[in-house]
Amino acid sequence: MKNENILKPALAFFMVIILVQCVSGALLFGVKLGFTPESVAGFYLGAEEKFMRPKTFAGLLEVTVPHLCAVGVVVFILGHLVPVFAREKKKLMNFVLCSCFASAAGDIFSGYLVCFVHPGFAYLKLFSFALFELSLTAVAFSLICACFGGFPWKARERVEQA
Amino acid sequence: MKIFVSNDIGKNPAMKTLFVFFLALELLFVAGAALMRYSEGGFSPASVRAYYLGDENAFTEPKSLTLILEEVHTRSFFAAVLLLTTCSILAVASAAERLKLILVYSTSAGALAYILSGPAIRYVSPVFSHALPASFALFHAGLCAMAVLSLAGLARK
Repeated sequence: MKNENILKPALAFFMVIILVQCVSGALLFGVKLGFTPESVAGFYLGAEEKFMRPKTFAGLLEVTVPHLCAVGVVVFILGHLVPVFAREKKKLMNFVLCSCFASAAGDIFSGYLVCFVHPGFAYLKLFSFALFELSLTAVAFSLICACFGGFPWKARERVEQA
Repeated sequence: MKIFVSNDIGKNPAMKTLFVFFLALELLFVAGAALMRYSEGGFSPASVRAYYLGDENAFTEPKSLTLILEEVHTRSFFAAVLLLTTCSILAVASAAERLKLILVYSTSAGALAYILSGPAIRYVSPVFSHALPASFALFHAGLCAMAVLSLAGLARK
């Protein structure tokens, strides 16, 4: 493929920065919402003892709109790079990409469900966020490996073939 | 996306127009980012330290963990997307390969350092206040250089 010398380092740095974003996202989630269903429900529905007010529809929209754009762009970029740079295990990568999109949607919209339907949807929020972080990290890791010559556990095969 | 794996951009005037407008917007983004940096206190290490660690004379408090994380989170998104898109356009533009590689590596390193220097100033050492303006300049100047080089390369195709 032409332009590989330029695209591979650019892609590797892109993946590293995406991993930084994953870590910062997870830390922000922990600091703002917490990792228990009670703390997530308290974040959205308010908590008198912590002087936290319930989230309004407008407040939720202010977070939803930029995340819809950003998550769509990032997962689209990752998705279209997978068939070009990481050609192994196509079915698995397709499944991981689909779970990226599905878990992102669940993460983004579960806040509204917690606020306006039932606090029990806090479990969905936690599950969706964890799945999204895991699948995004898996795709980023696969693409970094592809940039540097393949998955580490396949190193012996490559040596034998050489 | 085939355009990024082949060099037939000259045969695709619509894609060429798209690249030109994107690069022009990117140059405006770099100008805007410089103005924002200036309005946040300037480019000197002392002003950067005051921004992150607070300043008793100006009655400003140190930046909280939430604000620092939000800054890292948004900066990393913009840096990642702009970097990959600009490098992809640079790859199909007519320019020396060695120059392209130098720009890709230096701009990427600048982007990473710029994203991470904020939390480093706040939680590791104030000495990183020298790294933030330097990495800001490296990242944004690198984006500028890649954009200008790509525009010149596209004009030749």
